[in-house]
Amino acid sequence: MKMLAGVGNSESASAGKAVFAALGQAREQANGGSVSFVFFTDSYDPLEIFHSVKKAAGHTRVVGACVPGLIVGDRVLTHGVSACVLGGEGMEAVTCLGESISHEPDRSGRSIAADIKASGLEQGTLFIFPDGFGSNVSKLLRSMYGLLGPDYTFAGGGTGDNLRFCRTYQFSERGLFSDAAAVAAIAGARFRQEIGHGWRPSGQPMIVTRAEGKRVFELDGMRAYERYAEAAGGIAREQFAYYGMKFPLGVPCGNGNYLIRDPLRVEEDGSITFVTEVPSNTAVVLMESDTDSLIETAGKVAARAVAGREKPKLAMVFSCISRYLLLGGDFGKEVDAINKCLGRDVPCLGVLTFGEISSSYGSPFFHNKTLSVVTGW
Amino acid sequence: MAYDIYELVTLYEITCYNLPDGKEDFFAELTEKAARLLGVCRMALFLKKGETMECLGYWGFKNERKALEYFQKQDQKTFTYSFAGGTGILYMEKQDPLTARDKKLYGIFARRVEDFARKIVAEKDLRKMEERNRSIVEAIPDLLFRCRVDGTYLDICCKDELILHSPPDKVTGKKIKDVLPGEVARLFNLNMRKALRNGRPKAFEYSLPVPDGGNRYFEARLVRSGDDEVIAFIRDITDLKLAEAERNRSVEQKIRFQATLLELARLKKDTLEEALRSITEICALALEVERVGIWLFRESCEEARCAELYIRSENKHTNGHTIRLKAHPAYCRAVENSRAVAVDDVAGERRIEKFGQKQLDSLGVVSLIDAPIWLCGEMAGMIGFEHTGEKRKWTEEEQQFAASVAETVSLTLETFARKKDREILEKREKRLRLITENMLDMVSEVDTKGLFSYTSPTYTRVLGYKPRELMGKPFYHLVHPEDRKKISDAVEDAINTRVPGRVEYRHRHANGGYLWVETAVNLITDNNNNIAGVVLGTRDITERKTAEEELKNTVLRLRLTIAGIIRAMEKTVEIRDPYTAGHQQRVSELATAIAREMGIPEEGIRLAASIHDLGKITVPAEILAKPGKISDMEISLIRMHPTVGYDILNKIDFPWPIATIVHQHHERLDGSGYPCGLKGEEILPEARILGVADVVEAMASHRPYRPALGLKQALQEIVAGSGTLYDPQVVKACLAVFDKNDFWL
Repeated sequence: MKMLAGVGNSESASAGKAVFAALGQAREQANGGSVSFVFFTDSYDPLEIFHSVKKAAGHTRVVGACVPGLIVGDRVLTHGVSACVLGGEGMEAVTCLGESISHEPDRSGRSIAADIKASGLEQGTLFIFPDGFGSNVSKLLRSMYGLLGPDYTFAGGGTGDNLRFCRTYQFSERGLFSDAAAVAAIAGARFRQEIGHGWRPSGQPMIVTRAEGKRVFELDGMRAYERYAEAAGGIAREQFAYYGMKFPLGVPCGNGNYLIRDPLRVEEDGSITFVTEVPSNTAVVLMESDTDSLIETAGKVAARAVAGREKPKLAMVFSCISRYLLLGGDFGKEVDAINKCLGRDVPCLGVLTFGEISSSYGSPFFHNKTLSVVTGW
Repeated sequence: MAYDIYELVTLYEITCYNLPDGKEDFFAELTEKAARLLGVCRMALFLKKGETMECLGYWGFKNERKALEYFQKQDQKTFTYSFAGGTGILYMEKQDPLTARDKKLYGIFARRVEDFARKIVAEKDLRKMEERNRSIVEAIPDLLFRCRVDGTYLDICCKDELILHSPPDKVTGKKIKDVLPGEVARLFNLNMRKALRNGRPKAFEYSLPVPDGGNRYFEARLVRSGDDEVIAFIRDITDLKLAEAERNRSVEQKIRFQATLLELARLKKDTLEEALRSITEICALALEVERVGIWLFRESCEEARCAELYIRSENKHTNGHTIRLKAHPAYCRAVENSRAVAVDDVAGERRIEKFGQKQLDSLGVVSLIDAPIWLCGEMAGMIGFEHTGEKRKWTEEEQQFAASVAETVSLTLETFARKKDREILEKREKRLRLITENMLDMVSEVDTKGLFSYTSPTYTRVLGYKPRELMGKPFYHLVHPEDRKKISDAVEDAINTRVPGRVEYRHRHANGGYLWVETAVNLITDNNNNIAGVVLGTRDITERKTAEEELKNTVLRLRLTIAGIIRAMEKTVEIRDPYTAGHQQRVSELATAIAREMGIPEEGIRLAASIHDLGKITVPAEILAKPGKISDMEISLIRMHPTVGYDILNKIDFPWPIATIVHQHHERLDGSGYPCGLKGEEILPEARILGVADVVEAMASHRPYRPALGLKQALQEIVAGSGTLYDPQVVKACLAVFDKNDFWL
């Protein structure tokens, strides 16, 4: 199978124009294509975007969402639309949408898996774009995987606004939703996905003795903040935002890997709310990193994604918003490192995400502070 | 084997986490741990259940069947761990081949899972056992004891010590007769001996008084457990007994109520008052209440009047007082919307707070039932059953009974109302019969087939038929054949218009002759307004008819006489002045035609026109026949002729104003005529017609003093003078007469 892929971007002020411009470029490169991915920043009216996409995408399947930023070339756009269109002989694509993922992640995951099974696709790659503010995306992924098994590769990332934490939007041809997961399942195309973060353990392990969803109440039987501050070498509460970003927690995750969990804020009762859920009864370690390590890891991830193969027809980069915030002015270096490895002439869709989805470690996990690169041929 | 920090953390987590509650959560947590810590991509857990393995959970498989298939698979990527004693199997699979270190960690994890699984199985068994024990405990009787033949308690197992009256250890060793009342102890001893003798269980029931009053009931079953001892199983059956007693009471009450209702249905009383008295009295006894009152609404529905009130303790009946209802719409609505409203506690019933609460309190009424009384689809009142003394919880049967009594009262009221109506009707019918039988006119009723269904006795007197002779006979046979159509038309008219009709015809007398009668036809309709027949009120008008006939003849004769007189006058004029004679004749014909056209009676006009120039007899013939111009004197003479004519005719009493018509025939609408210069409505319509006809004829005919001007010019003249000289209606009618081409001058 020869993949046909195209990527288009637009910074037009008008939602309609931006969608038509971005999708137009992508569709032209992909010769029409069979499935379209459309991402837009929260500076547009989502409904206007959705209606424009429905018009511009023709008969292709569509998934899309609102994201905090778009990586275009070596820049990050906080106002724009990016589109990626895939096609090619023998490619099959199915899209589906799971609703109420915050309240019923299990049911929603089973529903998505059932839709995919019902479509007749026996294996393939799933691009999943859940509401990144959803309280238990990991559970959604486990439920999906529980029914689909290892015959499917899981990729994608959490979607959301530009750190306003107000409301996120996901869509497929079926409609525009919030608190949902938009999923595209693609068979008949070859994809490789790599993930990495560049964080390393620092200090002794702790046990999450009490947690509910994203909120950790106790670490080692102590109030979460007290134990965290102790492990971090004693930090003042008002400095937590800074230290939280610098010292996330690592949850062991197979073969020497760690899932990173990003602390967001300290609550009044001394509990800590994380960006993503932290399971109870889990050992965690304080993690640390630096700019060089993060940038180096990004290059390594991208290099692994293209290693040993001819030039890919497409690359998708899902980078955690917190990396962008943490690296600040150096984020361009990370993008450079990636682009160097991928090659500047490879159509590349870059999106800032709220958590990244990858099954590189065996089964799918919802990561934080990582960089995921998906390449396709 | 040394572990790195990551492996240590993993080991730390595997060994430190606790088992969550619930089977589903347990497996979900296992998959989360296995997938994350060990990179497991598929997992399944089977536990032994009897001879087979039950799948406790699977993950990464499309279904359970697939999990079972994979479970048989053994390769480098799979790890299968059997629990000790073959109680379960854990299957785990990794995407890459397992390393020695993986296997080590998988083994540690599997043993933790085994511990949890064992715990789960143990908990499951424990739950089962608990359930079994609970069932056994629930099956144990309330009291169980072993007893020797001499009545000594050997050992006691008791659920509730209250049954024993004292702790079991204080009863053990004592004799039954020392613990239980004498009669109950005798029962025990008797049945114990029987059980020992026959070897068959003996069962009996007994009751014991309880400290807080009343009795508790027990069922005892004695079973021989040795040569000289029995085991007694005692069950507290108080609730059963009470339920049975309640059932019996309910059945008894139902029977009593049914008998009461039957008694009420059979009540025969001459007056409504007596009937209501009996109802309240019987119901007060049956329902065991102090007061039963029947309240009927006044027409305005703002008040209810007590039609009957019975007070049981005083055996007293009263009535007549009223209560105001307007202030208690909620309660009245509640009664109206239900078969009966039962109030167990009057003090707590807010709807009757204002409904004479004080009065009820003063009477000691604590509970009551009110049921609506319905008459002709409307609530006409209510019956109240008031209880004094202790508050009372009304049973369903009692409420049903109250509602049924209300229905009985409704029926009674209806029956007596009907009885009263019937009496009034009978009286009215009697009076009517008296009238019809004694009136001079004949009254008959004819059904839809035209047959007599009733004839009043007057028929015998007037027409000679015996009262029953005409019954079932066709009415039309008695009508003169020439008049039958008149009758049928009158009946048809009455049916179509629903207005009584009147018709005169000849009715056959029993002697074969005919009498003139006048009949008023009235329709009889049923409840659906369908015609059921006719009532004929017939009067003999033979005498009137004869008189009318005579009068008609007289009038005819008189008219002939008048016509003769007029003719004589006409002749007189004709002899003297031939021109005038022909003129009068033609004017008469034209005026009659105009009157006909206008729908005005012709007779008077015709006669007046035929002699309208009668007054010219006083004008010398030379003047009348003079050709050429005549002098003013002569004109004055001629112009006197209407007055002369009037003077002659005025003395004759014609049935029409002949003299006035003649007098005014030269008057004109605008007052320019003569002799009086009358205007507009002052001139009789007949005179206005005559005036126009006179002008038209005069102009169209030849005159001694000029030749004929012709009809055309004559008509132009009246058209020109229409509205000023001549009445426009008359002019229009005159033109119409000539337009029809059936009139010539």
